[in-house]
Amino acid sequence: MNLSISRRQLADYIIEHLVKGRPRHQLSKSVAAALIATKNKNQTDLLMEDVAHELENRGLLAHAKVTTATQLTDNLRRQLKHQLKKAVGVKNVILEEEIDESVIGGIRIETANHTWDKTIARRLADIKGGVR
Amino acid sequence: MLATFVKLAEAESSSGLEAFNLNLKSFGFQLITFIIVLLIIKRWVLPPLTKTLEERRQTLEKSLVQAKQTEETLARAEEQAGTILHKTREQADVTIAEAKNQAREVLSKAEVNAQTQAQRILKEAEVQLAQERAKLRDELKVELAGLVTEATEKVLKSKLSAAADRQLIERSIKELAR
Repeated sequence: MNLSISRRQLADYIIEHLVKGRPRHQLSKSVAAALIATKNKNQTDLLMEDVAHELENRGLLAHAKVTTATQLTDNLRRQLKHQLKKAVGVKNVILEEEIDESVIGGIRIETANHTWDKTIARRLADIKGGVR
Repeated sequence: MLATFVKLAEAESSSGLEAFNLNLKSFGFQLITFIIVLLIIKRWVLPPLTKTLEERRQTLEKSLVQAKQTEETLARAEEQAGTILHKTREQADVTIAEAKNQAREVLSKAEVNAQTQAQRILKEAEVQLAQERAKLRDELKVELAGLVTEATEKVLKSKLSAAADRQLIERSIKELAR
């Protein structure tokens, strides 16, 4: 049997079942089977990206990768989540923090559909690029 | 006629003609001879002579006429030559004057061209210089910006405190929803 399901369709399927509260191990099995059947075993990462996109589009969840030069305080985390919910238009936000001294200072936030780069490194690069 | 003449001679010999010592007989013979000669001349000599003379006269006349005609032709030719020479001289003068004018025009055009070219070259050089200056200025700006950002980076890396960084992050977070 030659099954043809797009990644988009699969992502929609996952989200709907997550929203319905279907057990995760059952959902994982179904998804794995679908990926094998459609010979898309290598596309798991891409599928997860599609899921993240769709979750954000539906206003359910935003997964934000946060890069700073120093550790965030709890207060900053709270503020960040609150502002991200408003800015992205989602009910929930998950933060994935990363420390990178090359940004020098400031913050970079990346979600599935948005990016904010307010780091000092980016501003200096803009100044250099603007002069050219 | 001859007999009559002899009779007359004899008659007169006895008259006063002997006083003039004139021999009528010989005179008569001479006269006759003269008349014969005259007739001969008139018949055989005079016509050809007259003819020849006439021909010569006509030839001379013709020659004179031809000479006159030649003279007239020569005079006309000389006059024409004089006129042509005069016209040619005039034309030559005009041509020389035109040539001089043309030469003057060419010279002045060449001068103007040379001036125009020189100005164009100067302008091009100025434009090039301005472009080079602008290019150098831009390169300097880029170089300077690079140095300034590098310096700023180094200073901030060492001087930016955690508190200052947190303040910066907080300000950035507040700007998110705008």
